[in-house]
Amino acid sequence: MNEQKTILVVEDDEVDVMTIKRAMKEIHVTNPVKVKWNGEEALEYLQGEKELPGIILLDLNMPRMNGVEFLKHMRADERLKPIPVIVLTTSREEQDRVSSFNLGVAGYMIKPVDYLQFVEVIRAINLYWTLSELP
Amino acid sequence: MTLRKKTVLILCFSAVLIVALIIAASRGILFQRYIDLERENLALNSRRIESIVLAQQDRFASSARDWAVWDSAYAYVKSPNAAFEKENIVPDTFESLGINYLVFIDTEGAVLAGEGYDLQKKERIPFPEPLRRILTSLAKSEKGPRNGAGKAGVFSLAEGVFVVAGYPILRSDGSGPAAGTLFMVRRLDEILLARISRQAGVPISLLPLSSPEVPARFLIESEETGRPVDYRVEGDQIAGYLLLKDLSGIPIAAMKFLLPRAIYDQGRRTLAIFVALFISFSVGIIAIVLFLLDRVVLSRLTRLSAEVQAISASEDLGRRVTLDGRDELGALESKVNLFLSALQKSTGKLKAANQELQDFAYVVSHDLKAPLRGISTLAGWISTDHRDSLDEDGQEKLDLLIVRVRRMNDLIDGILKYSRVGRSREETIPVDCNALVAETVDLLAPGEKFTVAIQENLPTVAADRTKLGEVFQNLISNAMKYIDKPQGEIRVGCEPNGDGWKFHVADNGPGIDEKYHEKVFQIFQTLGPKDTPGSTGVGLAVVKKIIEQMGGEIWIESVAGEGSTFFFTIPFRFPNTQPS
Repeated sequence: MNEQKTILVVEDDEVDVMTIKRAMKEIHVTNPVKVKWNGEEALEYLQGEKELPGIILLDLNMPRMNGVEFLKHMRADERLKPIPVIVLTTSREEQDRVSSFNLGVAGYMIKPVDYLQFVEVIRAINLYWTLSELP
Repeated sequence: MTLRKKTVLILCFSAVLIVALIIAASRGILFQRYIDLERENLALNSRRIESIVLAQQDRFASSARDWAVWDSAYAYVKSPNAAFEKENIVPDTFESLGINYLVFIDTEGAVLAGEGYDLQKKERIPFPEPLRRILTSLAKSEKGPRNGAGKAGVFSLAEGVFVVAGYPILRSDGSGPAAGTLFMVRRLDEILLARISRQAGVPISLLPLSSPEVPARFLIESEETGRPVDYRVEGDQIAGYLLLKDLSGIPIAAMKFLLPRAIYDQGRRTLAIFVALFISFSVGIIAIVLFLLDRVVLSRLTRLSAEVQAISASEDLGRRVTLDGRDELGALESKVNLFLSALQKSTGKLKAANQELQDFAYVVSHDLKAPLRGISTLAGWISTDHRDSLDEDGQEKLDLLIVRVRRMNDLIDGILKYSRVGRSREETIPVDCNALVAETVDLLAPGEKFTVAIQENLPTVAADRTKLGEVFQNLISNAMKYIDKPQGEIRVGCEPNGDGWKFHVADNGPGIDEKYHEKVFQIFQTLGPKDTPGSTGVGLAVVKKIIEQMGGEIWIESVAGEGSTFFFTIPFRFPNTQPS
């Protein structure tokens, strides 16, 4: 993906993380992947890191700090604000979708059950990230 | 019947009853009083006429006295001479006295001079024999003029009724003995009647007793003393009848006089005015009562009813009816509000509980999906990545595991779908069913194996488009899924039914046994084998839930082996059931 920038995955499900990594490997995305297990950890990491990630793949249902709360904190931080965020969740809740977009996410993807479909989702994200001009 | 109509009816009925009673009472009391007054007036008039007749008799009586108590007359009766007759019994005498006959009878009863004169023709008339007989018998009679007292009265002859006045003939100083009797007789002719009429001020006529007009009781009660008077209504006048009796008390004729019915008319007018006034008062009172009733009760009732109606139509239990007044209606209004509050409270609780249940189902199934997805993914990877290290048995078990996981996933999806029917927001818009059904069929792509007959001119209904689409999609896809014939036939149609539309989706599939007609609508109930892919027993449960949320019903009619028809209804305007 884009200039070998880091991809930050904020996800509490180990299998999902494995799935994401496996899918990326399958479509030959070689960017480094950083995994944080909840919003709090992710925020801590971002605030301590000089080199910001190129994209964040965000789960919504997480312990300690969920995805929406994480987005709120992120959007309040001038430095973190421009990072594109794609929500990757199982939630079909309209409320989640609405608040996510209100907080300026670049995409909202439902995690497919089927692995092959999951690969397609990751492929779509990659395509978007590759083609889209970023700040 | 509305309360207003009932009130009007009761008021009108009471008013009519009261007016009828008042009319009856006033006729009986007031009007009778006027009739009594009229009779009193009649009696008064008859007494007046009688006294006028008597006055006329008195006039003759006093003339008779003037002539009878006179030396010349005395001398004449003692020794009749032509000189007296020639000097006194002349036309001028008759005319000035207004009499027809001047008769001198001596003590023996012999008529000394009996002269007649026609006042109209101004000529002498003979002295009739019947008159002579009456006068001589009167002169001798105990009832006649005697002992220095005169006598006046009436009698009748064939010629008519006569007024007679007699006086004993005395010397000028009134000393007797009486030398004879002097009679002055006047026929009660038209002139005299006219004079009496003039004095009485009412037209008077004389009727012989033989006249059919004479009241019959005069003939029966003729012997009675007193003043027989009778009356009879003649057009707009009333005729009074007065019985005339002769000197010996025998009825001889009747005097009839006509009076205008002024009192009676006055009574009638008064009664009419009274009744009219009363009716207008009644109408006025009814109007006032209705107006007040309307202001105080009916309009408020109507408003209360409209408000309650509006609240039930809107299904917004947060609304309250307007309070006005501290009377029973005001109390009712506040009770309605209390009732609404209680209802709102319990509905709120119910909704919360329901929502909680749905949320619970949703959250649980959602949370169940996450590990399941992990299981599915890991099983898939084991199956692909470690295929070589698994023997055939292990591989088969792993495949079974994957199938079961998929089924579990389908079931959880079903619960999510089912609970989402109650959770998602509804948008009721006009939905053109022609377009909707066509789209749905298109989406399902029935292919060559099916003929889908869609009735033309399906209605446009008020519904949530997505949900109604889901209904058609489920029913049509079910028909396609379970077909057991080489050529499938699906028919979709609709007809108005009572206060809503009745749709049907019919197929020629295997049909559904009647004992399952209820069961197929329950969640996770399928008639096929458990692991049939895509058959979780959620579709019809979702359909039923959607239909019921729209206020309709769904049922099945089916003949085993020949197909089944799903019917469902949509009210013309179903209540908007937005989850709070």
